[in-house]
Amino acid sequence: MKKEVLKNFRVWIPRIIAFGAIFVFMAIMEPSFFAAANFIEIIRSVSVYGVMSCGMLFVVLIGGLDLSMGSMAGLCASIMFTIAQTGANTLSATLLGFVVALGVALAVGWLHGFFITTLRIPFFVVTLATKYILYGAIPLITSGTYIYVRGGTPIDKIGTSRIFDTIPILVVYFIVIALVTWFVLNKTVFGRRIYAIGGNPTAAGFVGIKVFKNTNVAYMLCTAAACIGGVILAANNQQAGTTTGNAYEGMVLMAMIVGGINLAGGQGTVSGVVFGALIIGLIQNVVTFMSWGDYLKLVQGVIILAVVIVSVVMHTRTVRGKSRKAKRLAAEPQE
Amino acid sequence: MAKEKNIIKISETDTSEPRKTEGELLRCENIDKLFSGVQVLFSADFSMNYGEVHALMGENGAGKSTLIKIVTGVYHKDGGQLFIDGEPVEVDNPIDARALGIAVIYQELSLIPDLTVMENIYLGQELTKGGMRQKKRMRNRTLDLIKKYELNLNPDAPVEVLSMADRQMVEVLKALSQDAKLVIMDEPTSSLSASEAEHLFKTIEGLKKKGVGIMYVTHRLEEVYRIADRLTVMRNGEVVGTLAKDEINPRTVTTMMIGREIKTERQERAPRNEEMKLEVKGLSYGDILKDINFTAYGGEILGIGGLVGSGRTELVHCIYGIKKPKTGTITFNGEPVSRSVIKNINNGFGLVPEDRRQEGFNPIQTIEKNICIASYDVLAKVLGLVGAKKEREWAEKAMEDYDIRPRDRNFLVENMSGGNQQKVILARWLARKPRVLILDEPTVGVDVGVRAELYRFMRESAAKGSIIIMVSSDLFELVQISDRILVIHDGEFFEEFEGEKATQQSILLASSGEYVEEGARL
Repeated sequence: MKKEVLKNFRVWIPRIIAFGAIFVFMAIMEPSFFAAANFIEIIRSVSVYGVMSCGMLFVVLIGGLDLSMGSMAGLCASIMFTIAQTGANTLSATLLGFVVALGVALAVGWLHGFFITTLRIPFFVVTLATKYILYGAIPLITSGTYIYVRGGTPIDKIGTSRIFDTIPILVVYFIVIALVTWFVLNKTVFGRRIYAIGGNPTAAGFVGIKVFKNTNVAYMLCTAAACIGGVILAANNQQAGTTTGNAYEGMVLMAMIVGGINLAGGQGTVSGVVFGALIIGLIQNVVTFMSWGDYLKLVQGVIILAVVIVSVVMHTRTVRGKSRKAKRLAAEPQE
Repeated sequence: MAKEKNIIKISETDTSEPRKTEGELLRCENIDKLFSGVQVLFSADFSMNYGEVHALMGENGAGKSTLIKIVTGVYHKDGGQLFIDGEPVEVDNPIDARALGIAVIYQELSLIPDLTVMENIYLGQELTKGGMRQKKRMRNRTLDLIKKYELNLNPDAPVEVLSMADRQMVEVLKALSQDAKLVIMDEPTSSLSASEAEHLFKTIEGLKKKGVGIMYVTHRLEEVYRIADRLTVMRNGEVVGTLAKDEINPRTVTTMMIGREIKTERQERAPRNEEMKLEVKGLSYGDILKDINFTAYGGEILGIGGLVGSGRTELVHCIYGIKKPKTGTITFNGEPVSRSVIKNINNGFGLVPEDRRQEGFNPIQTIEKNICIASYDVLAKVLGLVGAKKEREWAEKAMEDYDIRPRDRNFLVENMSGGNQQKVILARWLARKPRVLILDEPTVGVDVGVRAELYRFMRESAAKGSIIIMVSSDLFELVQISDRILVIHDGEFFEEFEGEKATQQSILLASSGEYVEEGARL
């Protein structure tokens, strides 16, 4: 038991160092970074990335990828806002909007799975195509404009409420979704199957796991998470339209890599995803905060690349350490 | 020009020089080979002539591949001498071998599917002029070759549209374009259908007439009768002998391959449990299996023999439910067997697949998860929720019972030894107390010690009344372990043996379609 705690702790060392480095950097450069208002801003972006990353985790674990997440988020938010607005922003109209948006998301997720498994089209091609299709569908829903919601409406409450008047409600969604994801992956047979498929789909088929069916479900969970992420993002911004969630899948993917999720499938934890989302959200905030203006995206890209390289190197080192231990164990005399 | 430096030369014209077509082509004298101190070839002698088809046979591990790899420069010999045309030669690497006119047709074909026949033949040795490809010249040259060797190939066809047999032709043509005089074929028919194989034999005869020497490695006796002029048999790294065409007969060949059979103590067999029975009737699958009928009973280990590619794996996959048979019925204790793998597993079926790395385990998961993956019907009864404690105890008990090392349930399976990986997969099923356990080549790549343990586990499981079906190419194992052996030949069960009466030779003969009196013809 003690050994396991130690092993888990080793995973967290580079993560803690990464956080430390960012905070020290900001303490020197810009002490006002530590203002409460800024932390709230950080929590906001981290929460959206976090929710979407949890969904992406299922797909990455089975060895796939969903490049349409950002567009899916934007489309779902637009659908929900449009329906809510049409229904005069009543609670029931808002709920109906969410249900419809979620239904669309699940349908698209199922289609992703169908194309990828039954028709054997590479996930890359399928999700890249739907990325543009879904993005292109947004103006059809919103009539080419943005849909705004006023304060006091149910949507506004979803996005901007605060717990104890300080903590943004978005973080609650993130925590809930992360816990549910953790539970599903670690405590259910479905979770075991996801890891089994990701590690070796053929072998999974040989123990009776329905690979196609489970793959479909993973893609549906991913689009559902994209839907929730898009809705809370738009609700927080009090507007939905083409820019909502646009290109978020890139950030989500970065969060995966930083969180040590094996993009080949079969390996990855929810704690890794949470950490990855935190780091990516932090970096984005730092870059915005430093008011580098035109260089913002450039600097952001460079920092993320650096973090990715460091975390990949760190990861391979721990893996190598493990295989060294494995060799030692295998070499031990067997009585 | 850099092109001039190419070691491989393409004959400018096919009629330029009359090629040698008679006499001795290759001679290997006293070839020794050691792998990290272990001798695998013992002063092997082998020779072949121009225009001869010389077959090479032997059990797995007899040293055929090692000998070929020495001739083709892949391995370095540790003693002896090679002669080409009577001249001593040194073959230090595959390029030397090619320059000497030795070509190998590999089983995994090395062609690029998108390119045409011509482009594949000239791949890496394109005819150029001033840096430009001379397409016309290459095409004409290819056509000349095709005509000369009377092949039926279109030089402009992309390789991906060709059949496996035609692809092999292209390989052969590629070798011939480099002036190969010795073509080595390593089990060329293993991926071919009967008609494709016939096509290949015709080509081989054509090549023979043109004076090309063909070294033909095979497991199939029928092919040896069909095409070989001479046959050399190897066993345990030694050349047992060479037979001329009229000396080749099944008894002699199999005796040479197996040598003196060592009879060791057989394990006590449990009484047959007639209550538990798996019946297969009239099963056919693809073109491989035609009409399979048998009944397996609880308490006995049923061995299934036959050559690689004879459909043994397909048969067990059909029983297990992972492949759908074309026709036929499979019943278990009178009930039809489901076509769903998971239903069969829950009904007490289990399969240890042939290729454990591909089909067996998840390398990046722990021993625990790999053992438990087939048992969540027991470990997660309520709402699909897995009890961590239940899972841990299940895995720990299995690791204890089947002595899996290292005894660390969180150890990744990819880092284990082959034998222990196999134990993990076996433990996955044995922990469930299976009613029908199918093992496909269970001891490939497993060391002797673990092998004995696997046999013991199989016997114990049978003694508890389970049906054990074992597919194996290891004749010793098949004869030693099975209580009853069924041999597949030509898509049907050809002969049945009682374990006590079976000998390795009789199994081998039956696999090749030779009836022997030890067994009962089916």
